[in-house]
Amino acid sequence: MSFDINMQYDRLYRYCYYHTHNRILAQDIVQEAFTRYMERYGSLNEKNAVPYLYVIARNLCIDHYRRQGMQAEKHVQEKTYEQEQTIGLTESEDNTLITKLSVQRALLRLSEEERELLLLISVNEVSVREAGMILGISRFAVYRRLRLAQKHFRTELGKEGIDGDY
Amino acid sequence: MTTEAKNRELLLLFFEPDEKPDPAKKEAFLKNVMTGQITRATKKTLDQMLLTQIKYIRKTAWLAALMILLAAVLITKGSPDSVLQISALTPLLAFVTEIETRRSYAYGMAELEMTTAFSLRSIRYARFMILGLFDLAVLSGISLLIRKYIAISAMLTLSCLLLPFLLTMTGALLLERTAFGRSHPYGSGVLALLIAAGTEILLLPAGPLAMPLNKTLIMQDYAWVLEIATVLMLVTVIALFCTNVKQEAEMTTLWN
Amino acid sequence: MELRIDRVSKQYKNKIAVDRLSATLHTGVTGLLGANGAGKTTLMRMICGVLTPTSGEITYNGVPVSEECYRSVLGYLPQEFGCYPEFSGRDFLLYFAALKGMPRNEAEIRSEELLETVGLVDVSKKRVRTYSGGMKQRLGIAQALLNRPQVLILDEPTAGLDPMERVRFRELIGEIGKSSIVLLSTHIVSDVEHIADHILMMKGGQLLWQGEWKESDGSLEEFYLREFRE
Repeated sequence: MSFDINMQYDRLYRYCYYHTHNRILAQDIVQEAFTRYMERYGSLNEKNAVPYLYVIARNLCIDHYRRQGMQAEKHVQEKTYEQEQTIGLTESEDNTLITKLSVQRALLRLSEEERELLLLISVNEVSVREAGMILGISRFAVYRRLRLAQKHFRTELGKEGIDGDY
Repeated sequence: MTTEAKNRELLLLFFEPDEKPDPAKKEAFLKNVMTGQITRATKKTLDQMLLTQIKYIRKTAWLAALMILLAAVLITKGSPDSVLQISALTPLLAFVTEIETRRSYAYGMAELEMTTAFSLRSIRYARFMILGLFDLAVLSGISLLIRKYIAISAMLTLSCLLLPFLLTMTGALLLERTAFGRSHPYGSGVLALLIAAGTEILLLPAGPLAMPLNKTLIMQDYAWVLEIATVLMLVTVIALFCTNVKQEAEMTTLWN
Repeated sequence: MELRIDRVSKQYKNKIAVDRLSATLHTGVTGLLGANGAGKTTLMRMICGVLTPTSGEITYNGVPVSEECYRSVLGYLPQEFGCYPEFSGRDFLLYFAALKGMPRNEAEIRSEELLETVGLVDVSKKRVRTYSGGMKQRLGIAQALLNRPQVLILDEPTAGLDPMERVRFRELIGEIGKSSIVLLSTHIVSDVEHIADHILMMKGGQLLWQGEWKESDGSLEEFYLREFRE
């Protein structure tokens, strides 16, 4: 039950990197979020430490967007293109890359909110309650939208040829 | 692998950052956070700590200095000839000041104060510095006041005022190092009275250092002796205080 | 979260108070059992960084406990403590909040919160010297919790508490133990039997026994008495 700061740092970083695609900026935002949280609340061993940290980080990312006028999407699409150009990989690396590109294409067809939910809950293991706090919607709305997002993701993956009994 | 785990693995192919966070930067930051030290917050509260200490220093300590100032004013109005006899009061000021820096030990708060962010050491130093500077300021004010009535330098007057003060402080601090002194905190009060009495005797009109106005010229020839003695005593007092504080850290018998 | 005690000894001129003791504490409640004079208080003082070990080292998450930054996450309740005579219960807490570096408004809120937790709101404006032993102890516990410590060291915290207060205390400590390292010393076995996950037993400055203690292991008291009779 205690706060695993190492893990939360990495998860927050993943979140911020997704939004900013800039290593330095993402790390600065993560650290700034922790700092601001500590200044206000003093201890990380609080029930709501995780959602508060995300809220602070999210706001900092949004501030950055506004300044830059960019979207994460654009970055991702640029990267995808780059990777399609890569040659000289081993077969297994090649396979992973193919899967990766498929997943990217599938996810890009989801809405921004659906991606956000999947990142927070399915990847970063934020709870439904906490996600509600972060996104400002009810628990039920989170649960409903998450299920739809997962379904949508599976459908899009199917279109990419990635099936699975999962 | 479970559905969830497989799902997560696929999602990670997209969401996992290509660039990991800088490990050195992360390490340094985490260390800071884990030990609760966020620089901005700490800096702000240092000033606050000093202000709090000022607030927690008892009124008696401030009053003692102001009383001496009052006495000086009254005496200069009443009988300016004997104004240097104020010096006899300064040991009592030293006593009150010294007691105030030791309150933590006197009331069993020491052990608790050792474990706070601003620990006992800094409290002791803070009180010593705050009161010491205040006393010095008051005594300097008095010497400037006296200068109006006796034609000797302010530095010399200050030295006359400070010598009994510093002598008492030295004695009190040395006493603090002994078991007797620690169990009898008011022992330095007795010392203060003795030094006060001694100074008074020296300064009495009929005494060897009496200060009728015309003898001050003789004093001025030896001003430098007094001034150097004062500076040396000041340094001694500061050094003694610092070593006392360091020593006390290990002496659990003191704490309660 | 890890508090590591590495071959720590404390030697005085004519006595060895703690003898090459090693232990590692994690999140949860650890009970430190031992008779008076076994070295519990000395060990706790070293863990708090107020006493320097003669040899060995104590670190928290790799940081030596002698460092100033460690004190920001530490909460300590000594076996005995005094109070400035003019302080009320509330003044006492505000004073320590200030020493722990808390800004004034936060200190006020936190003090009120803790006074309520330990049940001293009614007497918070009265002078501490009018408090009973149990009340003073509760105030001491409140003080230790001011800065939401990650490491909480309590030296004989249940001494002077009546049975009701003891129960309340156990619940409070159990709750804190979920997210902090709590080390609680006592010579009364029943105090720790139900709330401690981990037990350390000391005798003559040495660690006699350490381990987990579950309800199913039987009576801790019997085990303790047996070990100490030898």
